[in-house]
Amino acid sequence: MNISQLRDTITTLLSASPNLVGSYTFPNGTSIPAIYVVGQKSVPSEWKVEGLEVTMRQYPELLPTAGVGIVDVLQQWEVVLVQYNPDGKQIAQAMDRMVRRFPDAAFRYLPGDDVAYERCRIIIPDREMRRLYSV
Amino acid sequence: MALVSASFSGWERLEKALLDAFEEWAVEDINKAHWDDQFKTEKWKHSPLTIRANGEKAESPRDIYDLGNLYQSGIDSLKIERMSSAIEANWHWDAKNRSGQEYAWYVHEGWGTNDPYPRKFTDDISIAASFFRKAPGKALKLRVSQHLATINAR
Repeated sequence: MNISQLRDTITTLLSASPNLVGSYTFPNGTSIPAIYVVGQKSVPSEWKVEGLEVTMRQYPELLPTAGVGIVDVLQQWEVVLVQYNPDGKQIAQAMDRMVRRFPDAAFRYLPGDDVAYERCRIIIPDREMRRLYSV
Repeated sequence: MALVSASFSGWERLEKALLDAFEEWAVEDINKAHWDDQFKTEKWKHSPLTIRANGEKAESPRDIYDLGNLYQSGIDSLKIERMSSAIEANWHWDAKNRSGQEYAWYVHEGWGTNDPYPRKFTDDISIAASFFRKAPGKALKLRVSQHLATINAR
């Protein structure tokens, strides 16, 4: 799996009817679904977030084990769900959809309080076999 | 004629070796080494500059030792429960902030004033999928093989 496959899978999963994904609104008033890949930059602070935000790290954590001529790589992807409207219930449904799609993932849920929004961090393991020496 | 035989006996010894290996791992490899590595290494991304309560300047990346309260609460909390055929180790980071609340999760998950900088100091142990690929899992395998070798040597 690569980041675009992960992003597409999660977008399809969470935006299927009923859509659970919130929105980013740019300063010019245009809106897009609140799904962001965090890599060179994090979500621009001038974007207004509403509803459920989904962010994912661009690069997975790589944990290799060398074999004979091959390397067994465990990649761990990290996805974070944040519920920006405190009365929203989308995060619960989103966790439910995620656990069915990624049954071996680790889920870390944190309730909201007066300073932080409700959130869930999800670590998704993904194993790949690669050639040890690529040409 | 060729004759070969193999046998295995002594479940109790095997069981004891495994429980000993686990206990030694929890005390030596985790409580005396792994938490030091997690708390005292400057490896965690955070905001560019924070002045700590002791006046020290913390930049990014930084360690999470700070005044040592959180670190020490975890080290002191180790509880090993050894039963006849099972063993369990538990840690509870119960250090409290000025409002009297436990704050380990704030650090761990990048919550509240730590947003968005999670410092996931238990992940190497608590995420099953990657456990054996990280230092704690490798250390446990090593302890187990050392203890099993002791049985063989007898």
